[in-house]
Amino acid sequence: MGRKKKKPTKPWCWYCNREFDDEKILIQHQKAKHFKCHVCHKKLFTGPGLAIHCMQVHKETLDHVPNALPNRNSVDIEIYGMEGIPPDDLREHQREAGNSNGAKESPAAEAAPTPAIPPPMSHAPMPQHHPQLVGMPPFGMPLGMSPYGMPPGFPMMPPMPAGAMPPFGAHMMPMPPSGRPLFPAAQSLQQPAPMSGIPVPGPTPAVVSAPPMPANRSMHDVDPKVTLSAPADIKHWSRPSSGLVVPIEGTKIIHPEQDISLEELRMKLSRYRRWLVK
Amino acid sequence: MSGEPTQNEIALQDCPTDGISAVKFSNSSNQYLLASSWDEYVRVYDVQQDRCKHKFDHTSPVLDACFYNTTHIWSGGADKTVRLFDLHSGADLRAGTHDDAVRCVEYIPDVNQIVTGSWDGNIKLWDPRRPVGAVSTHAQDNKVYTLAVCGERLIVGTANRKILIWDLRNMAYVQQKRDSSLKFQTRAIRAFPDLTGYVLSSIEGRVAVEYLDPSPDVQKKKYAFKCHRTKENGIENIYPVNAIAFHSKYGTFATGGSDGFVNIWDGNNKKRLCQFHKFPSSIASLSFSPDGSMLAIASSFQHEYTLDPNVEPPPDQIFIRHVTDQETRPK
Repeated sequence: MGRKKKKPTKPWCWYCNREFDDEKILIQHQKAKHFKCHVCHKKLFTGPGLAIHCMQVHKETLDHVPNALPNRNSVDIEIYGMEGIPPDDLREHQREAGNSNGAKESPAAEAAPTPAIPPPMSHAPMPQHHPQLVGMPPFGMPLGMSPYGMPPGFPMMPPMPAGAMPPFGAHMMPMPPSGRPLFPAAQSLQQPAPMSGIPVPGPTPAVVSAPPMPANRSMHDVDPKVTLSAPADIKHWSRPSSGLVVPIEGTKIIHPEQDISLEELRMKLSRYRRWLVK
Repeated sequence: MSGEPTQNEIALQDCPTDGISAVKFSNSSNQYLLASSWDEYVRVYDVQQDRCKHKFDHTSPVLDACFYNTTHIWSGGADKTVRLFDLHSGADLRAGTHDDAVRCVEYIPDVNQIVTGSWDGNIKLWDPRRPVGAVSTHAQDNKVYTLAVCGERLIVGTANRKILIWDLRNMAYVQQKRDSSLKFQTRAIRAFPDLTGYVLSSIEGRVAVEYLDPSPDVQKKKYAFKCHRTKENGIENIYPVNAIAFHSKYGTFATGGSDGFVNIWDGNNKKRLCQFHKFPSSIASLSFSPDGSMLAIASSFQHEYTLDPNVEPPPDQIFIRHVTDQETRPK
């Protein structure tokens, strides 16, 4: 329906606004910087996943994602790479990127077959109080955006403009000057090596939140190349190293509910009951 | 016969008529195998002739038994007694009692003693040459569910997921007390033939490989893995891992689960060597022959779930499988 060709915005990290050349690297960054458990250094897949891990395994409440900007440290938003970013933040980021990169990345320069006509933006929410928007025409942002403002397929998407983000945790965790390497490959070596035949669970067999993988993932708003490479990588990582367990709801233990041995339970059957110790 | 009988496998004749609690090969002979059962008997089979040679009445469900030597068998049961049977004379003797059902009976060659573990929360040591009452009684943390002999050490698994490691040279105190690294009820423990550690299984389709040496360097090597699980209609069924048996020569081990499968693992290389066909019912017990050429497999329903009263329960059977090097040797 005459959609505009996407402008190649670089993948960027919602938590710290850093840009990356590749969504793979972005995901690595997020796992190392934002989704790593400070107690056991296990790398989880999402912020909520990390919070659940800390609660279930270490009995600690995690109220913010580590190393994130003060207004971007919510543990309730499920973000994985470029997936799950609140649409307003996504739009805003692209606006900023458009500003700084100027005409170089304008659709016209891309030999796009369709003329660069701004699509109708009647459904998009108005951008709100952002200093960098000065000079931007109110409806001039939609480089690469869906004409309907809300790309489908984002999980847990609060329809909330960035300016309205609750500023909780605003006083904690400013982005620390990192003394550690950004991609601490050495740390991953501490985990048991994946091996064929025997799946090694991580230090805990607790439930680990799966990465958000919406089935109806939108292909419109992200560079197709990036989009296609991501799912393959997710599968690859989630199997051996993370102890990713099917949530308890999806499993059934073939054992009576009572947590005593099968022999004790058997002894309670009528034909053996006379042997029960009074 | 089993669903998929194979040439290298026989189902023993004259099997127990109720749940099989344990099968164990003789310590020194590849010819004799004992089976203890809820039908109140301990049977001794000559596996070469496929014949039940002896049948002893324990007068209550037998939860475990072991060979002391080629002519004597010890057993423990629901009646709280520890008994021994003489294969030659057919005589039986009541050696003593616990305060609750006797769950585990093992022979400890290194000190020439018998050890029993009970739901009364004690282990008792017995002198097989003077079988009149226990030599000593040692309180554990909780009901004893499983125990393994590891040279001069005992590894006891209790109902509250504790692992107690005892040194038989000094039973005045427990050498190490650990929490099970598995989150669910301990089902079985067996020691490595090289005596450096043990394998532990739980009711939640999981097996842990652990080491006795408490130094961090050694403890770093421990690990656990999932097994005995099947996926059905999107639901993962997780089965208890009831049985562990080590191959004395190769140090590899077999696990048996309530899924009816037997797997053989190479714990050092973290590899599964093979999986046998599905047996008719839960694998209740496993035992390698002393030379490692045969594996005895007890396939016996353990009431993991409530049977439909109109359905005939699966038969209790013992299979003797001739295993190959390919199935048991580390690659």
